[in-house]
Amino acid sequence: MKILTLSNLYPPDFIGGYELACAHVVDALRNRGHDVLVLTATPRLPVSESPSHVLRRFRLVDEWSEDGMGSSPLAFRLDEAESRLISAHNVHVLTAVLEEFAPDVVYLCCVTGLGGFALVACLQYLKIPWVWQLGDRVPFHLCSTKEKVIAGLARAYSSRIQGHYIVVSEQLRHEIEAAGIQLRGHVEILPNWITGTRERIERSYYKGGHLKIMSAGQVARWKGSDLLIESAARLRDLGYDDFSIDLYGRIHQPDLMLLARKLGLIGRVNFKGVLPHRQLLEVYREYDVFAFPTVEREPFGLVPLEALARGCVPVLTRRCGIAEYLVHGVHCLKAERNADAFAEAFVNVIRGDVNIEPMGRRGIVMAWRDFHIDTILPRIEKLLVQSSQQSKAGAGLTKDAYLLARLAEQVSASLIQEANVA
Amino acid sequence: MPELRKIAYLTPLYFDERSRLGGGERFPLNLATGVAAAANGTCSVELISFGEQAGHYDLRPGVSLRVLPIANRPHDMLNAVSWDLPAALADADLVHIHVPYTRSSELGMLIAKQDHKPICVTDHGGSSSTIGLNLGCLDLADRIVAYSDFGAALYRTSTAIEIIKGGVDATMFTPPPVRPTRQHVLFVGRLLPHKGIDYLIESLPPDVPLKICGRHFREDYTWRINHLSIGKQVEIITDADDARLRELYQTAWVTVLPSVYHDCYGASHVAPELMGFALLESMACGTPAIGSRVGGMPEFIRHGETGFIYDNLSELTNQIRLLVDDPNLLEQMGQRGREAVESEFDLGIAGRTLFELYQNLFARAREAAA
Repeated sequence: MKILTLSNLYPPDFIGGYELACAHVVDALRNRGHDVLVLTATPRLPVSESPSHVLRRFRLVDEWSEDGMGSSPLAFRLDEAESRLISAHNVHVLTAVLEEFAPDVVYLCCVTGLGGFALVACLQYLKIPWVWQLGDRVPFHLCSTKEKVIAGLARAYSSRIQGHYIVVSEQLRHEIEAAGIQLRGHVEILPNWITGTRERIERSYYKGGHLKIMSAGQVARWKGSDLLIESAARLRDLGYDDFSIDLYGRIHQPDLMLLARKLGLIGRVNFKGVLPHRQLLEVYREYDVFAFPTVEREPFGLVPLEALARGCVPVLTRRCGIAEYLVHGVHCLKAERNADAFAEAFVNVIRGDVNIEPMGRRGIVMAWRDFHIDTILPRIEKLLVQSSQQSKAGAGLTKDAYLLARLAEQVSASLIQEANVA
Repeated sequence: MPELRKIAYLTPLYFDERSRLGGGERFPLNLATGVAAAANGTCSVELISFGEQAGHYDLRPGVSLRVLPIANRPHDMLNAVSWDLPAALADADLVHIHVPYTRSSELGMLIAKQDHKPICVTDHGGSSSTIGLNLGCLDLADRIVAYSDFGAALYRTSTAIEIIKGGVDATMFTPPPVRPTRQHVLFVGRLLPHKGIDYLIESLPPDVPLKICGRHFREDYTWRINHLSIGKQVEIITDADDARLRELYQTAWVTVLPSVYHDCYGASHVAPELMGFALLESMACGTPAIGSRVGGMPEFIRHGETGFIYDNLSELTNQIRLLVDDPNLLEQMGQRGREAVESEFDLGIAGRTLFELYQNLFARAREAAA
């Protein structure tokens, strides 16, 4: 099959797991003999030469950078519209590549920052079949400003956009649909995946003594780093001294270091900085427990799965995405998202009320068997094939698609300007 | 094969409760009435416009008006938009956009095209947004529907143009059962400089009364009309409903549309009169019509038969004098005018032609989608 992949960023330029996952699928599909072309944005910083199957042609509005959008209210709104709603430039790029490459199907990943609404509308207009990998609530973003969902856009999206969706958790689907955005067409819940080759996992399991707890990812409140620090204080205050918590990852909120100091946790809570992914995978074996007190709306959460695949047992927020796939007491421990609950989970391990060794052993087996990309990819592939068989009768013309994009861009800009001038 | 069931007319003139249907909507409403009649109950037409409050009103058999709540308050209310527009267009099989150069119409074009609906466009003059014009968005339409050769020549698009002339309601505008005494010259239209009302007043014989029926839009022009009217028998009527308007036509010697390309203030107008709808209404009432040789008017008046076309103001004066002084000629012309409307310009005829066009476009779209 000829598969065109759309993603706002693509490694080595990436923000998080969403783009990495996209690259995993692209590589795996190519390995299975498919002709895959990636269309992504020009990188935010220079990258080494891209392989020929990666076209870096889209223009990105960098919503994720502090300086990525206009600072005045009007400039911000216009950038926001270009990021989420419509970029005629990107529609032009897309239509040109569609004509040249003539894909059987389009595999969409994160299209925020590219005027993603119009890209999907363009595919819809041209009746190009698509499968959209939703690792986050992208349709929600495309129908929203920073402040709120635009109900009219949500209604228009719900009534008109129809295709194949892969959603990484039921929770994510529910979150999107609860905002008034219906995912019409075929929706399949498929987890994210781990990659690599399973080797014999040589490790020991907790038998008492010093409990080694780790977390990895962004060090920030939205990932629950503050709760984890506070849980360390609770643990100590309960009289459990023999533990340590190491936090790996970029520190987004430096005051969290002050919090640890203020609570007298120096030496118990350690900020370890960013580790290259390969090294991080090795590090998991050295820890007993992987703490993941992330926000409950976390769509999936790949790092606990990576940890579990190395026998490091996750203690995670009860209702985050990955929690749907793991069973409490079988593969992990689930806790309410507060410091007391996490401290209690750790206490249970320290006191031996919970034996984490069987969880770790079962987790390793399950992670490599059920969550490896080799298991997931055939299901993605099946959806791509299924989608590619959709009828293209009555498709619009690419020149009209671009004209519609120009019209949409200018009309939306005029409405935004009118609202901001008024 | 699915049948054409519903047509949406996007008529983005701003309504409020007081003026739900003003003169600007009369022509689309007439076309809708003709189309619904031609469909004989198989297809309805919904006029879609904008207002403070959402509303739905049955206007005529098979014709309704849906008012969508506005989401913005632009300086020019022709640029009002509503978040309900996508839903309002969703169940239409075909969309006919009237007054295309407004933001609401541009949005309508965008939605209808994205939904692969057949689109017709008719420009009735007037614009409040240049976005679609500058982008050449008429090319996105499936058919342009013009109502005069003159109007058709103004479109700059590769889209095919269908000319459907007329659309007057010959059952509403009729000759009276017994003709009352004719007692005035009549002008019907907006009180704007390009309508040339000032020239009509100047040309008016002093002993001939003139009734001007229409709304004021510019203070300076109103002042000018009032000033020129001193010493003449001029009456301005601003609140006529359809019944009163019909009575004005029926009691007139002649209806005059003195529109100009260059108005009294030096402004130029490319299309001051695309058809001259008032002339057709007048003819439908058995009252002759006089029009300047401007815009589409010469296409609708048979000079010397249903009325007159003039090239200068002295001709206009003479033509008015002739009709006022020669009742036989007047009645003869009036009768022929009525016949012309019945045979060519009635909304039933326009409706049948238009409905056939809609059916063809709909069938073509269905075929492409199959």
